[in-house]
Amino acid sequence: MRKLILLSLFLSVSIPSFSQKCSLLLNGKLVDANSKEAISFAAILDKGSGQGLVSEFDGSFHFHDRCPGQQQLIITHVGYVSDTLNFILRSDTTIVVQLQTKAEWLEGVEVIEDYHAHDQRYIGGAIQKKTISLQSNKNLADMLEEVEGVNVLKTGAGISKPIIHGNYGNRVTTINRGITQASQQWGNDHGLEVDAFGASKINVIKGAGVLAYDGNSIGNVIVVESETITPDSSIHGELNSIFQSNGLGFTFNGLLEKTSKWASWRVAGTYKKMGDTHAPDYFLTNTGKDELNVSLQLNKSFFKKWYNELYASTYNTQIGILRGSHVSSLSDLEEAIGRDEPFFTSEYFSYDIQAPRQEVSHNLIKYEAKYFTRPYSYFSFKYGWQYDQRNEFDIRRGDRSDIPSLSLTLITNAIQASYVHHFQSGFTLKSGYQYNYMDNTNDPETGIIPLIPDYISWSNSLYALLEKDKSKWGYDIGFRLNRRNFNVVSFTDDLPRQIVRYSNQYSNLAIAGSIKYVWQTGWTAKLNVNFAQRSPDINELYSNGLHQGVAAIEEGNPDLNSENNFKSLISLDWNRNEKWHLQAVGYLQAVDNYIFLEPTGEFRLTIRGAYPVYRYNQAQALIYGGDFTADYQLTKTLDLAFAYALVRGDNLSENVTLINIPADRIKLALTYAFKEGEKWGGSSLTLRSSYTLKQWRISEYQDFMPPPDAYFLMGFQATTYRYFKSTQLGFNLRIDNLLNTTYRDYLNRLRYYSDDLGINIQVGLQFSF
Amino acid sequence: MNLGQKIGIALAIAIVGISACKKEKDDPVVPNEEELITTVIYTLIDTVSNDTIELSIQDIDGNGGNPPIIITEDLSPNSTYWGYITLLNESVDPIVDISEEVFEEGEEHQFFFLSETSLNTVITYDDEDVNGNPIGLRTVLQTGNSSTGELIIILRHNPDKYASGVAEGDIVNAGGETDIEVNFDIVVQ
Repeated sequence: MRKLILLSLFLSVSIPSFSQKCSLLLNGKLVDANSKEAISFAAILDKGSGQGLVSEFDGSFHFHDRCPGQQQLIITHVGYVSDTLNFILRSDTTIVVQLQTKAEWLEGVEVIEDYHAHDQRYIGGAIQKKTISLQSNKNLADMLEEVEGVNVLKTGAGISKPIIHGNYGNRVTTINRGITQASQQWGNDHGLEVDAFGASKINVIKGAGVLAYDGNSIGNVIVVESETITPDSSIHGELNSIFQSNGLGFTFNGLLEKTSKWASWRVAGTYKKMGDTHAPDYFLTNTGKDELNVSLQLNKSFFKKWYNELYASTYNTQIGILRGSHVSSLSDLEEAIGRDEPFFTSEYFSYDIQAPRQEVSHNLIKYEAKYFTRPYSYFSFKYGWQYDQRNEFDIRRGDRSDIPSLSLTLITNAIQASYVHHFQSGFTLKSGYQYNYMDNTNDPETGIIPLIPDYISWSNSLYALLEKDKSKWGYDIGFRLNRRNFNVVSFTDDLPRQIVRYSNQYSNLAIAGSIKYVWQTGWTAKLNVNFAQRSPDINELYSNGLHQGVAAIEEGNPDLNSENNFKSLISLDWNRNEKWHLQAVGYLQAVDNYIFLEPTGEFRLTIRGAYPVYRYNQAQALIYGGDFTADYQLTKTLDLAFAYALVRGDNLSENVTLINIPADRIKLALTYAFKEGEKWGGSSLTLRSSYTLKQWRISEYQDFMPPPDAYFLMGFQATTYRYFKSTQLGFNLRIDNLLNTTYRDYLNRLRYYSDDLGINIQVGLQFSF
Repeated sequence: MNLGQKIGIALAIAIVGISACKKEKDDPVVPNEEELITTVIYTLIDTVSNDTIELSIQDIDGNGGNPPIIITEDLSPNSTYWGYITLLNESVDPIVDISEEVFEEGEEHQFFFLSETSLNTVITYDDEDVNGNPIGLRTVLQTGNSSTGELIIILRHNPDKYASGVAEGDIVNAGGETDIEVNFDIVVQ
């Protein structure tokens, strides 16, 4: 009965990786410890990559494209005691695993569900655990830049937002450990506020696979997955430290986990300290950053049917904003743009963080329960509580720089109930209900009329998805209904300030379908089609005031309607002789009522001069593009990867290009992988290069300055692991902007004020046990 | 009662529980906009006749709401005036004199007076901060023959007063943030 589901072999389609050369084969066979009979349909989860598969009829399983190094496989089967294997992979290997029978059958189902979460019908990319550790000095969005189709919108050294296929901000939803990340994310100068360390995988899902996720997404979701705690009674863990030369930054990560009799637990922590970063010719004064994050996860199963997880995390950061980018009038901005070196550039390095700066705290408590009614069918309940505090400090008169100019508290409660049912016919039904309640409050101590008003917003959503996945082909279809309400309290523009109340309701519908087909010849084709409505968010409706960083008055528009998005994505994969791997993704997104910030042409006179007025408006828009990647194995040890990404966005109503659309980028990487040794392994050298074209489609009147010129960057990485009996030590050297090129990027708001980062050498040391 | 029913009931309770959450925000406290500069008055006193002229701009409700009100008066040709700048926050009660705050933090502030070339006036600083650099709260304005043109008064917070020309009133290398930037159409006749 579960045969069909389990047969859905999750093809390990590795997206050409710019990080490490991984091509080893790991073959295995599962047998009953007593009868020595083959065990079919057992789940094998590779903890390192999050990849899972199911043993074949003869008990065999095959992992392709394995990276060398420490492996941890968790093998579960309803009729057997789960087993965890820890070993080091150095060359192509075949293993035989004997499992002990057990009476109960439900132990492993949660594991199976885990890798069902990112079905291969969907089009997207992912970052694996290994890369997360090696790059944990970066923030989440910057890490994601390595995924094809993802660009990053930056507001400085520490603040980034991902752009997925030309969509960003409110159009991208982040799911952190199962809960929709709620924070004051509507501003482009706010980061994602998630610590990726300790996550098993970060998925970027585009297209149809997003219906089950709450949030206002229109087909772009970032999923940060928590990994299953090793079912082993000895302590496992990881210690990680990274030093970076640019900003003299230190990152320390630690993780400990253990399965005790009473429960499985994991604690993880991250500490980062960085100082002023450096462009090739000068320091970027006041671009330091501090960060301290701690998380705790507890898992406990009762009666082998009832699975519980408690997850709590706190993320706290303080980020400096380039001192020279603090402008408070249009003439300040114009002056800043023309300079060779930003105002207030210090000759000396410093760890000090002064105003302008941000203090952000994001706290999450999640409880999740799953109750299995049958193997692979379950009820699930999730509750998430999030507490966000954001304080932004500007340079103010009269010792007020320590009083925030913006102080927001956001409390979010989310409840989700879902039911997943596997039919004998091979169909899977996923259905659920989600409730989300947000309460946002400004602290009046700022002494400033807030840019975003106080509000309460709540939404109810229902969804259902029907899926069928076989090794050769799979498809799904689903819908999502959502109703969202806002109750807003704001102030009048004139004196005396009166309180005014507004409310808005939106109903949104999303329908999606996808289909996948695999040919014998090595071709895989996937097609995703979806229609989704997105209701305007609070900033688009009610923001009102001066946006300091760009010296503009921004006004919300309470009359906005929901956006209607129609998107289709197609991807073609081709694998040949393990030598060639090609992937092409094409997409087309037509948006009716596309919400954007439009220059009104009005200049409003104030006591600080005239400011241009921007107002949220709607138009017909078309976003389309493609990602093309090719990976060619020159020799057994040498690999060449090529990637080209192109995005176009047009405002059809006004016949202009959309702003913040990435420029075309070409990437090329050459990797040399050393032969695996007894003591040393996972060793590789990578030379990277990227060429970013000029964003020439932006016309002069759309921006304060012409888009920056095209630029070429080089990078280098060397990685190796030293294996001990059951532990390993990893070394990583990475150099970004190897040639110390002076450049500015169109997607970095600091392009108005300063050059981008110069050379950065980072050295990482990692110990896992 | 089977499991489905139990779960149904639990869900119903949960949903009722949530719906009980309040849906309306309480009335927020109106922030006390004590830092706001609503009013700039440039008072000019004729050194001979003691006649007083006031150039002023008033924008009580800040960035939004009603546009600022600008009042100018004609200046006499070939005269010398003592100039005094007063900054007020008239949005709060009682009214706050911001010029005092600027004076106390004199080394962090400087006024710049930019006259259109057609305008026949010369403005010189008549005050000093603790470091002996000008602030510009007190000035001397001299008029030449009859002329018209724009006078722009700018207050910069955290300018580099030691940069070239800044102490002499040249804004080009000053930097810092603009706290005030107001234009007056001046007639000297």
